[in-house]
Amino acid sequence: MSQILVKLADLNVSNNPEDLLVVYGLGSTAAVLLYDREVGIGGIAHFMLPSSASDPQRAREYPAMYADVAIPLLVESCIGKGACRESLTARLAGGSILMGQGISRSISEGNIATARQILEKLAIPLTAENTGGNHNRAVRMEISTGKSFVKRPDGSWEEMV
Amino acid sequence: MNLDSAIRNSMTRLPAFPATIHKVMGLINNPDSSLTELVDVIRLDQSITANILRMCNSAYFGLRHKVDNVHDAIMYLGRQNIVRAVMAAGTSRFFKSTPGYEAEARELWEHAVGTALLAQILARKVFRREDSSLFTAAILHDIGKIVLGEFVKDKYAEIKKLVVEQSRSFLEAEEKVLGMNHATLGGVIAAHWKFPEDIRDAIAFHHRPDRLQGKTDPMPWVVHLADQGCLMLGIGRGADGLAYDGLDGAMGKLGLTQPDFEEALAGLVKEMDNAREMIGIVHASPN
Repeated sequence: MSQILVKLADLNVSNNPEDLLVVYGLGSTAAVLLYDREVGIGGIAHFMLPSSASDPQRAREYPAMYADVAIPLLVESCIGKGACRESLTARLAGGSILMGQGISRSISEGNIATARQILEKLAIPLTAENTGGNHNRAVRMEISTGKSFVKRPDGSWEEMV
Repeated sequence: MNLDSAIRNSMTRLPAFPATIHKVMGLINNPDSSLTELVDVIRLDQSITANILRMCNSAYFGLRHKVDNVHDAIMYLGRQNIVRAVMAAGTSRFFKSTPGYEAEARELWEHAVGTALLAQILARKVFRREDSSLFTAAILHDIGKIVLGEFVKDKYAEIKKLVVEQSRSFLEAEEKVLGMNHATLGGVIAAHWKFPEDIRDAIAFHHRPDRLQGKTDPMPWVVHLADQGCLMLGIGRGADGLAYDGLDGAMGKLGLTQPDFEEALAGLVKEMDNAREMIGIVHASPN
């Protein structure tokens, strides 16, 4: 199985059953994982800020940096590979929050809230979520099955169902 | 030997801090210093010279001609980049894997460089200029973890229990279980290495700049904010994760707004993309 790393502010889509898409280093950032079971196409977007409104120019250079641009783009990229919008399902992970009255709350919660809103607007069902807390996460998706896993704080992998 | 003595004893086994870096910082901060003086100091240190040339010829700096001497490297890189290059070349040797934080050497190093780069982005917003002392403090802010890692490893279960069950920050849990936290220890190491007070304070108080009483230097606040930003973006992930207090007043202290901070985070992504090759080159080198 070949591992494809999805970097921060980036997205990847695959229809190769040999591929495993992986995101490491989910802090206050978040990942949306989409999968079309009918055709075996999946993709992950790893975004770090909720809205591109403050910096549309940067959003053109790094579209996957912002939830509001990254998720629609991920949907289009999956469709471009042959997925059908109606059969896509979504999973969501990330959005850890620093302790205290910290600086990260609006970004972490904004990433998760925006992702939920956009998925709802696009009528893509959100089937599993693993968000919040104050630990780092990693997620991975097997393209052959669509099975997705999140790394627990103790290092073990838990299926997102 | 009690734990405190064992930690301090372990600290004294750290390699000496390269004298070349102190000399270069002195010259960089002195507007009357000449290029020749800078060249003379740097070329006496073979490993820093080799690393600077390697970095100078990397895609990060995008030079068209191969640079084979320190004089030309400095001409091409410019003063601010020389600080980055010398610090990166001289400090990467300290970033070994730290078992207690479950962090690989490369991740710690990436976190150090990311924090230094984000600190400079914030400095450009706050002070309208970069600051070589700030870069130094930021790149070394977690140096205490290098020594504390082996002790954290032995007591990890106890530390994690306090974090999970009592919602203590990782810093408080270190303090409670080991009698010392990695930031305070970093300050002690910086003193051992003869760094000036502003850099020592910025390292020692990078998690709690609010506890630095009677001082108004903004540097610890910038390092705090830069460190938190990198933790949020997952740049250099460890077992401690985001279990630290993000201080509410940090942005206000520096006159920054939430959009300023978000813009700085966004800007860091490109700087990290550019620097990654540099980070890899320096860390992969035997020196």
